[in-house]
Amino acid sequence: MKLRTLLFAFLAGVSFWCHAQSESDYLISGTYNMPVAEFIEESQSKFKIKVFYKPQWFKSSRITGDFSDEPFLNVLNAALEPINLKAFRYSKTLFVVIPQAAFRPDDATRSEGPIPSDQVIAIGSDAAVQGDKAVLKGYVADGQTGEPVAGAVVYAISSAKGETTNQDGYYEIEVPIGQQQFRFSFLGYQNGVALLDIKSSGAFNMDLYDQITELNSVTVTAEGPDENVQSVVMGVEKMDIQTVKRMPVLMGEADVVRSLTLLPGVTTVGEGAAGFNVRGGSVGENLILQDGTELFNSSHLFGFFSVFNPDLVEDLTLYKGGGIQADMGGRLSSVLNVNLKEGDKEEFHGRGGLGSLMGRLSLEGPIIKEKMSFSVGGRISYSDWLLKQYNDVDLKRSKAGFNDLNLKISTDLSPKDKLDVSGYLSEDYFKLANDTVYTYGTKLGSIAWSHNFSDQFFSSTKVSIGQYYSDVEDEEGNNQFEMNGNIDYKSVSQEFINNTFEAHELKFGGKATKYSINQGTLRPLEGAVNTEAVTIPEQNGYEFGFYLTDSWTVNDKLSINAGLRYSMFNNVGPEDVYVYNDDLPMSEASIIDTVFYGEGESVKKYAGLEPRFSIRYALNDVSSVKLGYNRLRQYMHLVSNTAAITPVDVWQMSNSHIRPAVSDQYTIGYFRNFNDNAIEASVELYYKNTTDILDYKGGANLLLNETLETDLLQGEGRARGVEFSVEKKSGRSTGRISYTYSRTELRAISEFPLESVNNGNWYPANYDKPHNLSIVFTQQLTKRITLNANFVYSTGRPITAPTSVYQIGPYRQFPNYSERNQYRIPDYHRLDLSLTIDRGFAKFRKIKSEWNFSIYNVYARKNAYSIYFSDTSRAYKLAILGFVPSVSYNFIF
Amino acid sequence: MKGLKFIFFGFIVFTVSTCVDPFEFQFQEDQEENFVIDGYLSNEQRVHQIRVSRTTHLGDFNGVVADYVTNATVVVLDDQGGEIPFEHEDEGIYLSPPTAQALPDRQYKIRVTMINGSVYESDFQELPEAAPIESELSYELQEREVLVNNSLQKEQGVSIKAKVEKAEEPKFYRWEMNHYFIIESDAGPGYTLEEQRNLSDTELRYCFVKDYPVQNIYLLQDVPQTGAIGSNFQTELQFISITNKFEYVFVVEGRQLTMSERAYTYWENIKQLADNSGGLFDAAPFPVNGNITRVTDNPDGTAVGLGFFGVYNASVDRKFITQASLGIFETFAPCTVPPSPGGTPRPHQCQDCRLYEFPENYENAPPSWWEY
Repeated sequence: MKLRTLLFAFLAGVSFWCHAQSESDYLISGTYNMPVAEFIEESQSKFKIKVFYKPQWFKSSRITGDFSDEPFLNVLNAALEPINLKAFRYSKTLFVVIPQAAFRPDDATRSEGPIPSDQVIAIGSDAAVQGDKAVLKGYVADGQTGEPVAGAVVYAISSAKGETTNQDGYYEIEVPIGQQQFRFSFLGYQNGVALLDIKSSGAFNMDLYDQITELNSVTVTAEGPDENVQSVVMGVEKMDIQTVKRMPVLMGEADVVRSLTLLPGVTTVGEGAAGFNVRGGSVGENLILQDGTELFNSSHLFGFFSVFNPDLVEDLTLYKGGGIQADMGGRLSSVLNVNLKEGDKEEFHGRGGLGSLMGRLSLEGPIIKEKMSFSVGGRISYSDWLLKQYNDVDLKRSKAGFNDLNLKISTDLSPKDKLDVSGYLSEDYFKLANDTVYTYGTKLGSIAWSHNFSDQFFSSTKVSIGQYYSDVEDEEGNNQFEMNGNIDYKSVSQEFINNTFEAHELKFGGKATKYSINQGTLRPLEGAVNTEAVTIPEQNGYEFGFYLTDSWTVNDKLSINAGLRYSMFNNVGPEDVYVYNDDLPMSEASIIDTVFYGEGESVKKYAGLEPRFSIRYALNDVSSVKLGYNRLRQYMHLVSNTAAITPVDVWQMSNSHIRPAVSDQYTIGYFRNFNDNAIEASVELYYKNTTDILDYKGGANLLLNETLETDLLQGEGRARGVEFSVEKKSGRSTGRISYTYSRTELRAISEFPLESVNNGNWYPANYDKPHNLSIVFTQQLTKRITLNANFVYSTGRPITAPTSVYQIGPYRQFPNYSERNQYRIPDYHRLDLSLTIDRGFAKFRKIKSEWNFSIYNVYARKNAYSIYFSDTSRAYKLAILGFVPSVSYNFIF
Repeated sequence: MKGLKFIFFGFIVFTVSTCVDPFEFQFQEDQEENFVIDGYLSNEQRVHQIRVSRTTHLGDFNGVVADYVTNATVVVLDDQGGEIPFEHEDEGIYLSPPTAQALPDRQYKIRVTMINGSVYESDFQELPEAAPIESELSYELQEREVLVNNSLQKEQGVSIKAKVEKAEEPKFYRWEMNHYFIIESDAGPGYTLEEQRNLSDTELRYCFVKDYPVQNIYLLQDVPQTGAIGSNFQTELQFISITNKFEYVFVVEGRQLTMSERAYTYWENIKQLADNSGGLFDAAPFPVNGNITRVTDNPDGTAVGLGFFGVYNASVDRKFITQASLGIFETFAPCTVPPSPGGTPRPHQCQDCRLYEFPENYENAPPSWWEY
């Protein structure tokens, strides 16, 4: 698909979703005299908008003049008109620049679907009548995709005059003044008929509709066509939700997190594992944000599905290691920011779907038209039936499921002020037979206020509160108990963006977060006869981060993004701190004293600078080289000694015994686009070393452990890798091939053998999978049918295997394990396919529907979920997901 | 609360399990063999046993006899100069004199001297305080749901429980469980149990046998609870399905071992390894260190043996379970001799119960505690 065609498609595709957006949001004031490209760059930064354009089109054109609250689009178009370009607004924050020849004027009279035959449409005006003929011009386009219909016949029935449209769908026809009927026809489309009253020359656009169904709107990419080359920062991956939804899915459910694992440098330890690993980081080293608010749990149903409702997601951005700029911090490996949609301020809409395991429904619409909107959506699972299918007694009596609910209210307080209020609730549960019930969930609330002081100075203020909790309850047997654990956090942040200085975008601000961690309180229930009450004292701490970043366009070739972050952490009382004998391995037996700190009293403080910078040097219009360096600190640690995290894993804040982890990452990359930016290619290398990374002793007891530090170790990590990526982003065939070679190793070394792992030698992390290949392919088969295929290959994850067996007791043998993670499970590979049949908005249909047929693991490979060893050391391979077909139905109204 | 997490792990594995296949794993074996010393001394005056063996190379163990150490010198020493010598009996098992027992206020350690001169010792262990009550088992008939043709059905079985009395201090228990029963050769001579009591050198219809022991590790930590001291509770140890082993008398033997917290932790770790399925939600397996250390040629103390030498407070209880005591009257298909393909038929278990191979086949002379 040509770029121009794609842009047409944008026009038509947004006809439903974007209604009468106000252009008064982005106002230009001041004296300007700068190149058009620079003006656009500045406006993008200032208004947080995106403009799609080709810089070479602008040549030496400049924006000049004094403006006072002039709409951005007007200013831009005034400069574009002399060079035969035109900009239009695609969505609230997206603008597109195209040649005027390809522009389909909005002010043209156009059909809104097939027109009743008795409806007379006036063209031109009586005042403009000149002679007895007039020229009618316009475009014929596909009513759903907006794609131009080339070769369509435009026929004036009464005057028997006809013309055909050119490749842009454009036509011009000279016709007599007066009322007459026109027919617009093309093979495969219903004829379009319009009764036009031609008063003078004018424009009329006709949309033709497929006879049966209509195409879905086109996929919108969130990046500019040459973003790959032009952006300064590496390691930033953006994905729009349409891309996610098109991918083959497991159990019929589109999954945000699963789609991330197809990106270079992003892996998962295995099927059904919660979270993801980025460039040699553990799951706990990812900061996950939903509309900027932190989430401690990113998955439902043990990791099979993500917590993000795809119907409510606008887009997602993953900042991998070196891509984390100074305005973000708190984790070592990545930041995933998932933006949720605002509700439509004009009309009510809804969407939903039914899959094998869950149902979804979301609604959006205006509360005060054009001022305030809401967006609410929820999901509920009905997965119990699945458990009944398993050949296991306990599972047949078990239950598992989840539900979640999102709410977002957006208000335009004034042209310069906007307020967003968001809420999120989620809960998972599972009950094993008649025994233990596990419940865990998240509660979030936030208020965000953005204010434009001027067109060059902006402010964003956010207050949020959240909680992740897990409850375990056992109401049977001698050990009846209830255990609760939770993390509470409250944060406030303030950010300013200043574009006053030419070629600079300054961003500065700060964030303060209070964390309270309750690692577990165990309470015997009334019927308990052998349960001891345990209360792990609450931990409290404050994390602060202050930053200043400057994105500086030095010249056409050189751009620099530099930033400095200063982070602090203060662990405060009340807290009893054990003092250990330094001459002995840390254990309960080596406690020599206990020091009490009162409420609010500082127990331990950590602080440090975190410099970040990226440099981009453009070799030419289509290629660039980038360098980057990042230092990151992490004060909150996920404590887990399992390969995949579990809902009952605890978090531990930095304190007197646990130091913050610090990592330094170095990246270099080469980026090259081909075929007019249709193909993007890149290679990135990174090296990361981390100090004080959290590790654990063999057999560590991490749950309800009042002296948890005695079971933990702090070692160092090193990760290195090279990521190759080639992506074709436009056309009927799109896709991406990514290959990553990486290694991630850990080392825990101590003077005490008990506090060393593998004798202090480097060993592979649980998520060290050197070779990763992913191929994503999408083929638009017809206007309404899309085929998707994913292939993934990765090296097997490391495991600890026995080196011998020995006998204990009369007959039983036990594997003798020695060094950690010295073996691997077999390599993993899988092919998934999906077919999406999109039943668009037909002429009289109010509901757009979509069917997705997916096959997970097409060739039913028995990929190893785990390798385990019997007491005679015989190895067995456990495979969990074979050939999994699924179907889901989605609808929009 | 280690167990809490395992419940979750188990759930995950079962939830998604679809396929288990044997897998040819490319092991890299230990270059060095290690010694395993496993056994205990209790307050019971009886023959105690210590097993000494070596770690076995992977792949050698399927049906192959373990690498037992038969020529070591094994002795248990106490802190007052006393020694209890152990003599090798069979398959690496060393037996104490029948008078051996652990006494209060003494500490004991084991010393094993290998033929090559290397010496392994445990650290000193002392007899823990006795449990408030001695081993006391109970049983009852129960129904459990089992899976038959992918549907749930009820199955009868016997729930075996141990009685535990709450103490002021935490108590750490492990139970050794054994099963005994009478096996019948239905095609054998028509003796009654009484008639064959004193017979010798003849085929037998009824034999007293010790079943293969169930290979589970039964642990319990009794935690003090305010106001509950002196009260007691039952903890289920086993559920045994009703089979033809219950045709006459089925004996459950439970030896209750009370131990130190350290010994309990060792067994807890061993159990954890036994339960590990290597899944994403299993804690990484690890070497379980007991209390055995090599005392020769080990200047930095890092050379350790495997296994644990414990000193436990022990007591035993047995329950004789009959169908009448359970209130059931099941009949079971008789044992039949398969047709011989030709030639002289060889003696068959269904004709002579002495031919049944069990860990112990007492024939018509059961242990002294078996009254009949």
